[in-house]
Amino acid sequence: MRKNIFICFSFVLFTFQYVTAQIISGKVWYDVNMEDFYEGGIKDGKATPELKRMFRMTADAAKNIQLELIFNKGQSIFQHQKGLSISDIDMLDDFVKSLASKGTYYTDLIEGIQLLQTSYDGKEYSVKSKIYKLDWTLTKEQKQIGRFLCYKAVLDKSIAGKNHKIIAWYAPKIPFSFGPVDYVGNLPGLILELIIPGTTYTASKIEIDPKKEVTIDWPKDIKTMTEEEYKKEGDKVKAQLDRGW
Amino acid sequence: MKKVIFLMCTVFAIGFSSSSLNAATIEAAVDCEDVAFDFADDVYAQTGDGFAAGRAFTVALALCELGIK
Repeated sequence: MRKNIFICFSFVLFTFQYVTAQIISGKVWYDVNMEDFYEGGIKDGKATPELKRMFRMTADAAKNIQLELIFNKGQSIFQHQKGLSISDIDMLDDFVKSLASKGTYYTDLIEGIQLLQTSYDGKEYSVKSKIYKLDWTLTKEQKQIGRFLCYKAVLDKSIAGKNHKIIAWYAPKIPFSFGPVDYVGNLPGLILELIIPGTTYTASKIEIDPKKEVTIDWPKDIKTMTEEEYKKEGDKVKAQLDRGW
Repeated sequence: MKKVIFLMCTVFAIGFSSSSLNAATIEAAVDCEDVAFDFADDVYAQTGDGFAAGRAFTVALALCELGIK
């Protein structure tokens, strides 16, 4: 009997190790849906036809966005697919892309840091931030995304003074805490779907490489700023808007 | 006959000027700055990001002034 239990236990352990050891690196492509952004903009019924048009154009252009997450065991890069045009109007392109992802996000889980490279009005910003533990609620709710079984996790987050529910569907079979934008370092699996106010990111293609480890080219010799400093710069832009531009 | 033609012309002229006046009134009612500020406020409410609001204002103002539909 003991022998049987030992054999069963060894088999389970070996299978688990085999499955997790299989993944050395991978790439995930995400589609973006911003219909919630449109709905959120017009929900109070006061939106003028011109304002509705702005929201409609934004949500339509977002349908063509494709973002990519490339990862190895410790690091990842999340960015827009290079050279992709999402509308006929360049300025709309840039705006909608920046809504879906402010720029390129580099993540280092070993060091517990993230670097965002972004720009505004011709000025470049490199924002370095720590990865904080967030109070996610892990649920038993599950669904299939591609060939991966995903579990739902929920996070309460305050955005612009209002509480919002953030929903992530993560795949424990890809045991790396990466995901879209700055949702990294917290969940016991890679996020294949993320729902934040206005935007949903859904994995449309998942490639797992069992043999070759990709190298993430972490930017070197750059001047970085803290998240707080970056937020202050953004607040200045908002204050300028509040003063009537 | 002349009277009928005169009346028809008058009715047509009044109708035409009234419709162009309406069109002009609708055009004049669009204040692109208002649209841009409203759009920027909504974007800020959904993102909490001042930069996103700034970009939203700029793009909405430009697209509205260009009359892109």
